Amino acid sequence: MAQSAKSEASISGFVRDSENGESMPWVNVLIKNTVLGAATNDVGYYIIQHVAPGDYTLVFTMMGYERHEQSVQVTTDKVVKVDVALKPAVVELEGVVKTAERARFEREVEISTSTLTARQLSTLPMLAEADVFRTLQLLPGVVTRSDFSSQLYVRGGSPDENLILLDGVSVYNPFHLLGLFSTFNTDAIKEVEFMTGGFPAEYGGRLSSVLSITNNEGNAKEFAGSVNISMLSAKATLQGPIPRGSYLISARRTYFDQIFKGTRYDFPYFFYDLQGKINFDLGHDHRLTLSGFYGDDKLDYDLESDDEEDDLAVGIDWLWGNRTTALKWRWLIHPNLYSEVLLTRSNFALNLDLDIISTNAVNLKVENGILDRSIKADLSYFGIAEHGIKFGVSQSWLDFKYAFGISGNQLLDYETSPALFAAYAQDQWQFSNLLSVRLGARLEHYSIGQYTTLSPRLGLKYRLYDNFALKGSFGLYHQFLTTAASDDQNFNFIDLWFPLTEQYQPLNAVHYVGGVEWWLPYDLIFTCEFYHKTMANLLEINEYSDFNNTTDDFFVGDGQATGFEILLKKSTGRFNGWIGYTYSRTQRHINALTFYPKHDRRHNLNLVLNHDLGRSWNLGFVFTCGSGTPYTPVLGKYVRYSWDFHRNEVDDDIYNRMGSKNSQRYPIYHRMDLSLRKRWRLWGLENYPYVQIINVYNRKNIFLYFWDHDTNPSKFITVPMFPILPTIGMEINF
Amino acid sequence: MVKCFCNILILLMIAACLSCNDEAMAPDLDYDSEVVVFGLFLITEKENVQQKAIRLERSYKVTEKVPPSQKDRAIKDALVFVESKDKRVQFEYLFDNVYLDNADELQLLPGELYKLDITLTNGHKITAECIMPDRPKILSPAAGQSVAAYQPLTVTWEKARFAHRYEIAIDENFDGFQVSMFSASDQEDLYSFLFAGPDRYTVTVASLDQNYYDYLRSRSDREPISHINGALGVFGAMAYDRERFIAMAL
Repeated sequence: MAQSAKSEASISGFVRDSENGESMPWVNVLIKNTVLGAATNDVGYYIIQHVAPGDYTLVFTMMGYERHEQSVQVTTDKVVKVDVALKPAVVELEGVVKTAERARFEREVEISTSTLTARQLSTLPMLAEADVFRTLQLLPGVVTRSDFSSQLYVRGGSPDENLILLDGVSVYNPFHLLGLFSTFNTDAIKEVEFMTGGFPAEYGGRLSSVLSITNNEGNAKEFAGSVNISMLSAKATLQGPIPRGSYLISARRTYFDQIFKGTRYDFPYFFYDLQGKINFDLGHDHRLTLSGFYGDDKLDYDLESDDEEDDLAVGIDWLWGNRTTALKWRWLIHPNLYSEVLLTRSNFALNLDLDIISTNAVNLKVENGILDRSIKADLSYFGIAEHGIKFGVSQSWLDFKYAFGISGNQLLDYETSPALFAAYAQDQWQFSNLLSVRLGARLEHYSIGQYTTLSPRLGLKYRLYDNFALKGSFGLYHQFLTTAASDDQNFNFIDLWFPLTEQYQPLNAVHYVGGVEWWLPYDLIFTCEFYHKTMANLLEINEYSDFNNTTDDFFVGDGQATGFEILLKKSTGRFNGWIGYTYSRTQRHINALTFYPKHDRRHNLNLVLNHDLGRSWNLGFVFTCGSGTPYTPVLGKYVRYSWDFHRNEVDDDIYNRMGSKNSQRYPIYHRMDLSLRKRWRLWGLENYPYVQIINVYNRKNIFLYFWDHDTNPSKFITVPMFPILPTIGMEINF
Repeated sequence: MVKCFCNILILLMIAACLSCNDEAMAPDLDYDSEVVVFGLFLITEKENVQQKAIRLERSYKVTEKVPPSQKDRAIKDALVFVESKDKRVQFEYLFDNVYLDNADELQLLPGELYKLDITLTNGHKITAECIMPDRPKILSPAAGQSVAAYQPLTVTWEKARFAHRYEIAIDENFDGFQVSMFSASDQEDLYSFLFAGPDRYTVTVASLDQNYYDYLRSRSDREPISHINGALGVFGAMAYDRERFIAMAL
């Protein structure tokens, strides 16, 4: 928000899209023939302060929208409210109006931050259908371990170090199909903001990154909808106005269980998710938003042995999923003071019910759950010239449950309920025309062990030239929850979250980031960032934990990650996309071992292009290439003996003799994906049939190596990742 | 711009196609064979039956063929000594990969420290120590006792001196049901007995020294927990009690 002069008068308001009523962040608002101006914030609110009395013309510009001018009369010490609705432009005028990215560049101290729009998500080739996490994997600084996982390893961090927020609510296990797909339905998404380092004080509780997903608010002007059928799922989204507000509802369900029902390919698994949002305006200054996300995976499988002598039958009833609900109250207390109060409930639950029926019926039950109930208040104050102050508090009450029972006998029933309090304050200070500083601190208190931590944050931006800025940030981060994942695991189907117990210190990380951002002709943005991150008190599960000893479940260690990232990006025009290169070096020191973790991919190149071919054809292209990730080689083998009580003699088996941990690397990884979409009007509907091809040239990227000792000599086996996978789908908008 | 894009695309396609048929080959990595020791001193349920065998083999490069017979895998010409408080006894190579206290000079006594000392012909030394635990005494199920089939089975025993942990094993005498678990206590409920039908069973409770317990629990591809200097494997001790019981349908 910009300000000048000495008057106390100001102009403020909200900017929305005229077609659907969605709030519009990062719209440039200028007072014509003056230097006064501002940009809208993430809910479309702007304020221009210290405007001298007089008659003015406000100019609203945003890429993809028609320029809007509005006359306004300002009298002494008055707040003038000007809400506008911008009309989408028929023809995009490249380079004439500012993009949201340009507005952010000019007004914000942002570092290591990327935003993705719904359009970017939908036009890139992905496995079966658009996926947020798989698109994020193409950004610099993000590494994936395999095609089979959509987990994000950010700047050397582990997936549990990413704070994942859906409309402000933490989501703990945001995956479907055991990690193959992310849980967020892209048809409902408005914008994705991803911070890979140096994030500000308003965010905490995780060491590596913040992923904030904002869903659409719903069309406040007219009823609209879309249907999308891919080879994975069918999706439907409906949105429309309600008195003084809007609603959106979006649902998705996989359907292969229904198609193959009763055939030899019958596999009774499906997942679904349902997202909804209702906005209700209580006058100009108040808005209530109720949003929810409900998604489950369900496997209901019965297996009977074909052997007539063997009466074995197994029944699996496995249900896991997330449920989040949020109630947000947005209150413009004063034109200079904007607040949001958020009540949230996030629940992850896993229930496995396994019946084993042979001569006896045995039932196994496994339960795991996290319930996070939080209240959060964030306030933004614009009343001090050259300062944008944000502060807030939050309190979370967490319940963790782990239970295991056999045929009514409860072997494990453990519950723990930590609480987490946080308070933060940050100020973005326009120190001079060239230098902006974002200073902040976050205080956190974790009830188990009574740990209190203070995390300072600093961001700097120095605009050396109009189109060139130097940036830097520093931050200390703490984390109190972790997952019991081991670096040696090749598959990680579902994360089990654990709150830290008294014996473990909070995990912490220090980020140092520096870089440049350079706006080139043709709206090309070049960024280069260097980072160094140190991590301490990291936990890794001890696979040799002595079950009678509760103090050796985890190894405690530390780590560091260093690297640089180069990104050349074009967000506008018929030909857009990005080229990103990352060099990173990640090390861990755990249990007296220094090693490169499995996600230490040294070089990573991503080429992401989207081209409007004309005549309503659109081509999406992704090429990704990375150096091999580490693995622990099998060097030798030996016969391992043990005493067999049944036979009263020694038993033998062949075991691997492993080399140094993660001392070898898999071959180079590369893959090319293509997608082709066509816009096609039929019966007044907008149809988008699409074809996607994953791994166009069928590269056999290696997932893992192992040795089969059932043959002598042992046989070397390679397990490849995705082969060539063509898929088709259709999106219909109405 | 579009031309440039098409050119990049074509070049990438060619480069990628050329590399897409690489057949993954096993990396040829150096590995020096190691000595593998399996030395387990055992006091069985019968007081006077003791086993003192040291097995010596070598490990193999993963690409090598492993000789199927123990005899062909054995290291036969090593000098193997075990020393107790008052005796140093040479173990002699007798058959397969086994070195034995042929003259039965060494007595296994609970609480006694035994020191292994092996010298190979190339001068390589291997040393280890273990402490013999006492034998536990099974309290239930008692000999000949009838228990309920398809129900959790409670096994209790009298703790043994010098035992680091216990291993409890249930074996069905004439069929395939076998389970085992570790314990630090003197009682365990075996829920896996829910799968056990009516039959005759044997329960074994073994007291383990730390070496053998660590060896057993580090059964994975990670570096095994070994308490031997100069070799892989274990030099450990175990003493067990055993009872036979009957599971009957209720």
